[in-house]
Amino acid sequence: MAENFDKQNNNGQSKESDPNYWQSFKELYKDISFTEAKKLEFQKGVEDEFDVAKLPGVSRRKFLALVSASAALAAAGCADYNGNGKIIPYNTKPEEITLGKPNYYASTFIENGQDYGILIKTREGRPIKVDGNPDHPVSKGKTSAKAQSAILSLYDPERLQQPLRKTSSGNFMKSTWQHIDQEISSALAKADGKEISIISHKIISPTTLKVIQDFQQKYPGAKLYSYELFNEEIRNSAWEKCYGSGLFPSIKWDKAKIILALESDFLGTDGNRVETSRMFADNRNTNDLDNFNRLYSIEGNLSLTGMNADYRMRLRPDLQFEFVMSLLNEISKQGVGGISVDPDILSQFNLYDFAQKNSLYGNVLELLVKDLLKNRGSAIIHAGRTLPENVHVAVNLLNDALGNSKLYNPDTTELPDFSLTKKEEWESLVQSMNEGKIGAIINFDSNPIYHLPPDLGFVDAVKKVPLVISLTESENESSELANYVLPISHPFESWGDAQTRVGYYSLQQPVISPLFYTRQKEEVLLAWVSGDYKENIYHDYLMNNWQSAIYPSLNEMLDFNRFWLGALQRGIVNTGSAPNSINSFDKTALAVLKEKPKNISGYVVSLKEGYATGDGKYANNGWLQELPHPVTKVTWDNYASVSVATAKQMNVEEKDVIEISLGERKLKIPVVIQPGSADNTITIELGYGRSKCGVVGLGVGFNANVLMSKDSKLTPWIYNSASIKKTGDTYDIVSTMEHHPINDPLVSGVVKERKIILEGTVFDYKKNPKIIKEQRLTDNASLYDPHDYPGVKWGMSIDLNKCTGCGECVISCNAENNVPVVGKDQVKVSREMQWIRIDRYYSGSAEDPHVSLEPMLCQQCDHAPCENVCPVAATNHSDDGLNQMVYNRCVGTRYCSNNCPYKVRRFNFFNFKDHFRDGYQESNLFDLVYNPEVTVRSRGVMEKCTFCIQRIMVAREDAIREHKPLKGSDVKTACQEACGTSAINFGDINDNKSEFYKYRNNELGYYVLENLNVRPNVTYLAKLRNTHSEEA
Amino acid sequence: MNIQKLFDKKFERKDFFISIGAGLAGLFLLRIFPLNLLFKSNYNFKGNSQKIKVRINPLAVSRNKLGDNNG
Repeated sequence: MAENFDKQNNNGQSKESDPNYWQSFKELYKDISFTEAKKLEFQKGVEDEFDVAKLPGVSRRKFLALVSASAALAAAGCADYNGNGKIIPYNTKPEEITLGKPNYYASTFIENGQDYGILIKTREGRPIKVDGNPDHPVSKGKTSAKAQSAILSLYDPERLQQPLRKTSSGNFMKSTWQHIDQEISSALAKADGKEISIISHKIISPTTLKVIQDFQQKYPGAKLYSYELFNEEIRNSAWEKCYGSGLFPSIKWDKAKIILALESDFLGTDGNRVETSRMFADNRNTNDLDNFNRLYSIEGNLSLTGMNADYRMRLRPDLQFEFVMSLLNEISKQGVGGISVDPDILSQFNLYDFAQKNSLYGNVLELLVKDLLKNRGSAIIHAGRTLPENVHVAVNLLNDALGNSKLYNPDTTELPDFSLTKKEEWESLVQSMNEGKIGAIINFDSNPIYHLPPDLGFVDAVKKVPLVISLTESENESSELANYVLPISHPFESWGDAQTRVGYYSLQQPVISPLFYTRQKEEVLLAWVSGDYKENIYHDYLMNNWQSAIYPSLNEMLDFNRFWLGALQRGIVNTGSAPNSINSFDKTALAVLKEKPKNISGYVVSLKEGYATGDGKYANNGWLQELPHPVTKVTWDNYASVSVATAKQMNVEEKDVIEISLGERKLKIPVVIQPGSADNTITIELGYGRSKCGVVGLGVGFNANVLMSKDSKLTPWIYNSASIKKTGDTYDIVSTMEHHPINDPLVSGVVKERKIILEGTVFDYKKNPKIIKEQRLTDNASLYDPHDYPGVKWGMSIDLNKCTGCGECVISCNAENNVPVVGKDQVKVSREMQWIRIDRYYSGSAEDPHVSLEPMLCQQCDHAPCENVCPVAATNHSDDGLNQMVYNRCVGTRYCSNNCPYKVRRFNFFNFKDHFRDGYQESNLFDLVYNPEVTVRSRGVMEKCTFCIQRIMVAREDAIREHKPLKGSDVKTACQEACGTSAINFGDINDNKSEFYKYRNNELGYYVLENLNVRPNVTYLAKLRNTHSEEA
Repeated sequence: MNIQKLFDKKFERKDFFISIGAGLAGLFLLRIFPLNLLFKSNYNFKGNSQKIKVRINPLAVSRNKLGDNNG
């Protein structure tokens, strides 16, 4: 049947040799506004005309009077400037601190039920940067963007600073912990046997769980409810049905040669993405082409994982079950045993009929089937966590039948999400609240009013509870309805432990004492349990718990105190215990595979976790809000993502506002037309539209949680039968996608012709290793004599085979280099300040585009065009090959930016510290976030990537002190350190024995815009797509 | 009006004092007038002059270098 497919018209993959690159629809369809914009260096309105002839004449006397008046005003105005504090040396210097030297603390960051081992860099006692802990078995020195951004949340001036108590008039009044402890302890004691409900996120800390157990002993009516907006509950439940154990093993992604991702964004949001990204990229090694993995992705909307796929097809998420069953049937037909699904049911699913019906590419499916059969035991099929249980069971069966269970790793089994509260229990809680059976609600660092489905009726029910206590870092939707709002310490001010996998524990330690009058959440409960709060109450409790419950099982040689100090320093404790091997597949699980093919039509709404804001917890974090979305490059908003055909069908254009209705539940949200989206699929990211939070996140985006229902037919994240109405309104969506285009009127396909992107296939590269070299424009004349760099010369190489476009490097650079947040209004006029951007190019059709990614930062050109045009020599060249920027000399002509072919220079159109959100970044507290080694730039100054010159200087200083030569490997840039896939390498171009030298001189290496002959010091390793030879 | 003409205009002594007086009165009124009521936001981050004390937690254990766990 597959043979009947028209391969010519349905291969969906445009030829690599002749791609038409485009970044947006305006570019693809040659929109006049885009063509005009390309002619302008800065957007309209940014540059005002300056005609000397039109200026009024001013006499010498008047000029001097005006200058004097300005000087007097400036002197008066600056007399009391913010930050004119005094620098006072330590009277008694803490032993650990050496002025000017950083300290590092190993700790743990908990995000969405996952734990990441982190190292927090502190300077003179204040945390300034977060990186991964190399000792952590899962993180292995890498961490997430959210963990890095947690630094900004620590210094959020809108954190709650002391306990609040609601008065009879409904206002909040400041109080003290002593008063609060007394009042709440007595109120809890008077609960009259009624239930005290503790509502929490998933608790992965064994000691926190013990605190809650102690609380339950003291208050026997206490009951724990827990939730995560996005969780692995369905995957775990399916696993338990199939294998009789809730312990889902981790996957050996680095051993998988073929990966089929079904609505799975394992590189973006699903599971522990730090681990999966690292392992996935390990197998995208161009030096080991035989093990180069091949990724197939079938999904409803273009995701980060889909962008990195070798083959990608679009399919609405509610059809995934039918697809997996069809694939099972096809695999079974090819003679694979062990697929014991009822043949009457299985025979109703046909892969190629399904493909034809849903516009999938039959030839690609054929290749997929061949690949799965050929790579039995080294392929993995992964279903996204938002898919229904029957899809997960079918996927488990498929993996089992193909022998792919070998890729499950029982040594690092994930602990399941079974502790999460079931729907029936939530309903029963709400009913009890309405009936007055609940004595108190304690929001234990949770925000149920924002997160729980509105049709649960939680909001109305909570108003009937006499005592509501919110333990939170900053105000939120739930704290607004509380009687007491108790400020809790930031994770970097708190003790803790975590266990998400069998085999190790992570430890969390405070790297700074609480900045405000806060307590950590466990301390609050312990104070109510013991009736007496003491400083370090939770530290002592944690140590005691470890000494009595965990330490004895470790068979340690050291006494406990020494063990404890060592464990804190490492941040991790290996227990050595591992679960038993995986059981055999339980065929009774297949009872859920009885659904027959259905005729599915209408619109389906798919809700996804926000890449930046997560479940909304990070909404008040400016770094994350301003981080361009990895796919659409939209900042400061969420939106309804639809395909080109669906937009046409709905008669809407980009930025039109639509109303989505799911029965009684409605949401108005703007549209973004997303290439690669499945037809009739509306994808919305959650975590936006906060109605109560700090000034950064307030009102940013739209709250799509209102579409969730407790009675979802499929899963809590997928709803079909939606109806859509065009409202007639429009909404401004800001994207960095079309910023900094290159104007080249002589060349139509500028990206291809000017060699901005070079790429190929693994097959072609194997055949001809010079395939990229041959495309390069290397024969270029130069006006300049060659310059000799005898010592170290710095360079960077970026492996585009490993770069997934996640943007973690951007956040790391922000933190390291004091890059300000500018806000949506400024991003709209191309004034974002991030020093590194991830250029995303589409090629092929708007329906099924290929994606090419290219991180773009200052290329530190040897013949830098920016240097020639600076009238004050503010940008010049160092003898180690760096294109330097002298901020104090810069007068802001912007000639350098105009002359930069890569458009990587950023101009401070304002003092953004002061300009953003009423001086949010001007708060005293905010000063603590800055890296003291990097100048905070002000208005009128140009800035750009420096290759982390401050880190180079530290390494040089260390080398001089230790009487050894400075080596390239002594320096790691911030982006390199943060890159989860090790795509970025940095080092000495002249050191021909270094690892970096191999990257720099790799056959796949090329320079962007090489024909300009500006001699960049950033080499890109061309992306190789692992498509089949017959495709190439 | 052309700015040159404005500068060239003779400025009477009386006018000068009236202008200065009006300016000072205006400045005084501006100081006491609650300007923030005119704007949407009531946030005043710049005025947040609360003293922040940075103290390390003596019970935490640090490392000297990134990636080095002090043996």
